Amino acid sequence: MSAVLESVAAGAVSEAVAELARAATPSLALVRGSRGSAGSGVIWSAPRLVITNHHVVPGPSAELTLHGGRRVSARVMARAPRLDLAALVVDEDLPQAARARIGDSDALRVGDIVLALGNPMGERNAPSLGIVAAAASEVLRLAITLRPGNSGGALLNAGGEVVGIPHMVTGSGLALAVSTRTVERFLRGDAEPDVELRWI
Amino acid sequence: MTSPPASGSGVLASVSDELAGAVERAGRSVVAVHGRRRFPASGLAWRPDLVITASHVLERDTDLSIGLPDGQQVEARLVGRDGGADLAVLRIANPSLQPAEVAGDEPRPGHLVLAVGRPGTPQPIASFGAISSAGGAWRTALGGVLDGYLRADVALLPGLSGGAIVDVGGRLLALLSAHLAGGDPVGIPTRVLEPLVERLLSGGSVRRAYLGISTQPVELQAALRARLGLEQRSGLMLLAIESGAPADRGGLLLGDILLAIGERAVDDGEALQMALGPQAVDTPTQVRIIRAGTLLEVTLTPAARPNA
Repeated sequence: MSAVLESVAAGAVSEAVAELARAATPSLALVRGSRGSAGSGVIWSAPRLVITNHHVVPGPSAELTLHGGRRVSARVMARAPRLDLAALVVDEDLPQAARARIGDSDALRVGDIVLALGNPMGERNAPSLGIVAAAASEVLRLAITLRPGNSGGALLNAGGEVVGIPHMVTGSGLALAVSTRTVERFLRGDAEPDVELRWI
Repeated sequence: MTSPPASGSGVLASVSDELAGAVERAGRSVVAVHGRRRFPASGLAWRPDLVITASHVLERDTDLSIGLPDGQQVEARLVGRDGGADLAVLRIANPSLQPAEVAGDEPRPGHLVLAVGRPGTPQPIASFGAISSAGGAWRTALGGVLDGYLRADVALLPGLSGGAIVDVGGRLLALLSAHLAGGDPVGIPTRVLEPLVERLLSGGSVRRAYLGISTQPVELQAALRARLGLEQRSGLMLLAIESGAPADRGGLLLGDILLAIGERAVDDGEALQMALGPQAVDTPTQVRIIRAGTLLEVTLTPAARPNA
């Protein structure tokens, strides 16, 4: 057995996962698109910016339910259909405490722990634990069990930073996420990278 | 977002580091196996010049190659394969592999494990889970009989077959196959692998015996058992006999009820498979049957199973 897993009680690891999920929850919004679609969104590092999946917000506007239950309306500012990303702008500044800490997705290694937070199957802020399954790039390949409604949520590293936006389930226990590096390129207005959102 | 307490986040970051380290260490002994039309599968460095993998990932016996952890691709020769155990052994010319470090302890259900493969990717791929069960002798979905297995709830990433199930220290526990149990991840534990690999090294492919029959278990009625003085409660009724196969040549007929092969009672399909191990190939064997309410002994010579 490994040194850490031997030296700490499994209970401490369990507590750490729960704490990670709790601490990140204020950054997560429930997103309802204008045509009945629903998913999750992440309050990004700018005051009025929320990132979600393109397919979650097919129309020009969306309604967000923030942590604590407050509802705000948002407009789709930009979208990248091939990356399945959309940037939403809300009508008011969001609290500083709700803004996600953005991590370095390039620093992820195969085997690193990741935690997805989303709103799968109507559950609010449900965490799913998994690992990075293949070398990090524009698209993160994950060994994790995600469900519809995880789309557009947050993928956290073990330090609680957002490293990706969960995108889709590709098999039993397999899922893809768009890395924060790719999200940042999208936000800078770079041309869409030649990324294929598929496992192989 | 509020920062999590340093201690909590520190524990998780350390665990994350250790898992990534375990994948990296295990990955030094995990190679790519090129032997099918689709993307490559995985294999394990067993000795400096030997790679073991899952037999089902080799669609062909020649034109095989190994992708080393450093990215080099080298030719490999098939030493032998055992379809029933879903195991194949390959040899490369230059003994440059770093054999997997084998875990000392047998894992128990609940122990955390990683599945590590390298389907032609520069870096290994991995999934994570727990041992769900560890057990003894069983019959695989491919017709083999193995002395043990490990089941783990690891995700079956494409190309992971032939890779390793390792402990959280990166040490080898089992060879992973997606086919041995019909689509669930199952591993052949190292203690079971060793004799299987030795057998393939010494004798080429492991053969399984076959008779060329399809059977159905039937309960023997009390009156029949009483009349024949039988303890055995069930047997195998012959529903089909392949023309020219050992059962046909030995004179078995449709409707015969198979009771025993040699000393071994065959009261279900599993017992039949156990009776048809490699030792039975080409060995004349007394077979006990019921035909038309009468006990008969017939001598059959099981052949090697085609395409085993």
